[in-house]
Amino acid sequence: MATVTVMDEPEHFSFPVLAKLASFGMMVVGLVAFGLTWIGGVELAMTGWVIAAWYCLGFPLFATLFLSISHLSSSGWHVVIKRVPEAMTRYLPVAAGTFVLIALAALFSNFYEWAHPVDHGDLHSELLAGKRAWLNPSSFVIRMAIYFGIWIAASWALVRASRKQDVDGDVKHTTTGRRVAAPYAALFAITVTFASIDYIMSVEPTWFSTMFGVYQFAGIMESGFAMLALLLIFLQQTGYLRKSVNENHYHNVGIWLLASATFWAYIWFCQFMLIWYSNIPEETQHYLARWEGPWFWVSFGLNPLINWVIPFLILLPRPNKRNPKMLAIAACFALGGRFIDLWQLVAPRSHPVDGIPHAAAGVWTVVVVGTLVGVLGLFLFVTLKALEKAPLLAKKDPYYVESVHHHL
Amino acid sequence: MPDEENKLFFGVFTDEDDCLEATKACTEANFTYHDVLAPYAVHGLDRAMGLPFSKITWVTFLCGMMGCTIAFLGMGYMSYWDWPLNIGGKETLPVPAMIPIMFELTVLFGGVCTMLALFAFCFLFPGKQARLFHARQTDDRFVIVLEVDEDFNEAKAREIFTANHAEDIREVDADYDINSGPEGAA
Repeated sequence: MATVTVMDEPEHFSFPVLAKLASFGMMVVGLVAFGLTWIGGVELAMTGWVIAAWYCLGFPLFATLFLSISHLSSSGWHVVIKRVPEAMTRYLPVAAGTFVLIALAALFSNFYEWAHPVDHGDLHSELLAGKRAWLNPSSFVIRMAIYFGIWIAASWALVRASRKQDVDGDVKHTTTGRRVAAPYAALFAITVTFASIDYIMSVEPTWFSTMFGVYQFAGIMESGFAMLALLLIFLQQTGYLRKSVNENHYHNVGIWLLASATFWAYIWFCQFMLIWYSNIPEETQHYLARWEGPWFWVSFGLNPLINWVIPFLILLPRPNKRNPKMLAIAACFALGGRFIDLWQLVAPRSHPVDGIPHAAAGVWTVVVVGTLVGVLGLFLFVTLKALEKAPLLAKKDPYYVESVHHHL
Repeated sequence: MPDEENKLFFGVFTDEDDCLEATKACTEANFTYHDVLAPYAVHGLDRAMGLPFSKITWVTFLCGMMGCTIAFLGMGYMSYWDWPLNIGGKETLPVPAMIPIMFELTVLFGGVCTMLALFAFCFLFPGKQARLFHARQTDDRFVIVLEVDEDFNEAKAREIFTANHAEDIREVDADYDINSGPEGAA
């Protein structure tokens, strides 16, 4: 087993010109769409931007956690594909750039109602005043810096250990990775919980759900595995990893996608059911804005259908998990579902700001898909560019041989 | 399975990998299996024997759906048709509250029916006498049992078994069991 089969495939990825042009095209579409949404006002534009920035931040966050989980569980199957999540983490510093706009929105606009609260002398204003200690622009920006600091430092340490191993093949780099992964997994849970509260939940500042962090985590995992599957299929279609990645690796990614989609459905439903059951106005306001009117079909129809029912039924039979085409279809549904999920979280609001009922403008926010396309183009460009920087196969990883011979 | 009772030809292996390799060779040589017996589930053995993908997943899926439906109809009957009560101002057919139970019954029916179907497929029941080709077949020995039909090539079978370090090779009657064999109740 000591001899490793020489793979008859390119060792280095080179960014295809067509893909490069496509990602630039997506960015242009995004810029135009984002510019157009400003006609609808800062709230509409920022709705699109927050969805897009948080959506794409999910991929590098997923990638750091995927690498950490693999380290902590001593798994070996992922070694032939691990360059892809490693490249995904390189988007984190760029994501920090996209979040600067969100920080600016908190500082200078009324997108986040808590940022510049007006005292109307009612209970709503009283509730907002009570949350001032956490929800204020300066601590919002400081927390943002802390989150990104932790994420970038951890991803840098994980990727650096892997790159060093490419040179000397020393097992100690795997141990280093493990040492980073253990505390990072805990830090990830805390930072992602608070980040999701800061950026998404605080859009409706008087509403809260104690399950919100894990709900966003579930969505991040589902869309992350979907993106990983699509990137792998893209690489194989363009002639890379043809021999080293086979249906057994797809099978594992498919299992993860099926499991995380189901986990998302479980958390999504639990959050709703607990609030529906206890029926406390402070909590139900969020669901009331989505229960009545056309939003019902988005929040309670499309959302579970696209995020869970369809991917679940597609991925349930074993042969479909091993078939890149079926896996790609399920992944596209999961990625579309992630947008629907965030869209119905950010766009309709239970409490109107400055007399503008947001749910009324809700249907128009479908234009914000354009903004998402743009940031997605940016993510793809950064990731594929980062993929060029290192060999596609980590041949000196101690688990490399196990990964090549992975069999399910 | 052939109509008339064929004689059986079996080899006993001490190692999982030997058994797996021998099975692959037997499948390639088109032998008819009586069965391949192992003390535990050997990874890839079903594929090596050329067996089709198990149908039992369909039993799990359909019985799971059945459990889900029964849960819904049962609760619906009780809380909507038979004895509607106003509980906390909720609907008398409170679908969100039913979903956890529908989920539980899906899992319960899926799981239990899978087990029962497995027993039925394998014709297992309490008190069934185990048929053993080797006394350590349920401990640490692997047995490949082939049917001696008209295409059976004994030399070839013997060659495959020997090449994979079989510790015992023999041809026996169709109803062979170690308890009825020459060794008697060992």
